[in-house]
Amino acid sequence: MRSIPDEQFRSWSHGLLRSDEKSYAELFEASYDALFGYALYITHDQAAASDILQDVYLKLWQVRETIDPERSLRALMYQMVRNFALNHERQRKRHAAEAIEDDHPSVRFDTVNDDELDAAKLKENLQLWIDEMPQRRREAFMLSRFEGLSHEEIASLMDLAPKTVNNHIVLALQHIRKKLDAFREMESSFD
Amino acid sequence: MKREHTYHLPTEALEGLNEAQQRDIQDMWDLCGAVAPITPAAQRKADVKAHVMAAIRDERERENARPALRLVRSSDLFASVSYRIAAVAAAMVVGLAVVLSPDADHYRALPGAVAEQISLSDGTDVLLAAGSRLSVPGSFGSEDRTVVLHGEAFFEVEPSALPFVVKTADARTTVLGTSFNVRSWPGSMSEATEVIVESGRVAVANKELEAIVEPGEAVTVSPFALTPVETTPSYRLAWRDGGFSYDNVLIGTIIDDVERRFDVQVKAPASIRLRPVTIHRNEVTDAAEFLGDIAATISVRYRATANGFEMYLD
Repeated sequence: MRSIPDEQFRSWSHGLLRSDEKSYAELFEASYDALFGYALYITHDQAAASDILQDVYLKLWQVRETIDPERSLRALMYQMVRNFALNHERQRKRHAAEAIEDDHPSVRFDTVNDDELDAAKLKENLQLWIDEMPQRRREAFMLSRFEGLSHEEIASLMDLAPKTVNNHIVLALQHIRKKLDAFREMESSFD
Repeated sequence: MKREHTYHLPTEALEGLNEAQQRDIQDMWDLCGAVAPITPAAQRKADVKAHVMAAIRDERERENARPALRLVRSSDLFASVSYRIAAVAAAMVVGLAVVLSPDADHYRALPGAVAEQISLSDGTDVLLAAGSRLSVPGSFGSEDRTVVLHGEAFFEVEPSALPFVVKTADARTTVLGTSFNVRSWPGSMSEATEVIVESGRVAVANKELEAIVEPGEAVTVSPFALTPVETTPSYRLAWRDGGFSYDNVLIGTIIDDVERRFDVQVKAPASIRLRPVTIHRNEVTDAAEFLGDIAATISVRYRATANGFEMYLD
């Protein structure tokens, strides 16, 4: 979504204001993957993420006449996904008896050589280290690293000070550094 | 759409760190690029898209089924941009003329009465609600028939080739010959201009859109939308005979009307003002009785004060 110019979002906003289906469909195509990723950071559940996005896009159509083209539609959509996803999380925690989903399909190693195996293993570990961070730290980091949102945009989305966002991101990277050191030490002890 | 994982580390993240720490942070940032975000399953995405597109088409069909407003872009109404600019310029001149022209007539319905009956030079009759103002420029009737309204009025417009235009804070209401009601109280709790049509067709516009409103229909205007309102026009026009009629309206808005109509002060906390009620009274001659009815509807108390009334919670 970062690569889509503000101009384009403004044009979609105007399209929504006049109930233009074509603008709506374009916006869906352009924004779905990134918003799906964001819903997934929060829920860790692909089925829930699609449900959340379905609700978000329906809601967007319902409120289309109140959209202000001078305000960022991109920020509005991230905010809607966040609200729906956090709401989903609250409900899920209320029904905590549910089974824990398998979030991390294991990587298959049978057909890869040693180098690829190392790369795959490292990638799998990186994913684990990211997942084990506190929720808000992971959210700030993922938005910065994979969605290209600025500190200011993340701060406004998560209702934090930009300085706090920066702290989260630095701490996230330092956390991964520490984990990586420990991982390499363990690997070399097997050699 | 392809996802990008090539974002740069925001420079803020390196501030206040020594060289080795900066290198570490940068390395970890680059390394994490390997963790591509999970892309949604194509089939599931297609299902979601099909579902939401079907839902919005359903909604549009429902909207078309009811005698809805036909929305047209203002820009589509004017064939050329220059014509549109000319129209805007003309509107601004009219607006200025109304404000500046010393020969404009200013009508005012004083608080404490039901309404003021006015006959304009073209034969149009206006019933001006208590506390409302109507400005009629000196040019009225020669090149146009434009009036400026602050408040609420019912118009019975004399048919003529010259369009009759009512300007309010956020809307222009244009007609040829018809009867309709315009309500616009800027700064109040329900400040959006509301137009109710009794007979004939009326064009209502904000800066962006224009809608044609048919007899028996009502519309509210906000800067970005024209919204049809479900209402019973005969009820909503009860004010002309001293009645009060509200369908799910905030008490704060009703209190404003009561204050103007009876020239009294009504005190009420926000917790009461923000509650919506539905109430209809044909002829109200006594403020105390009507406020008592409202208070009873929502189970709050009221009492007389030196210059009016107070509604309060126990």
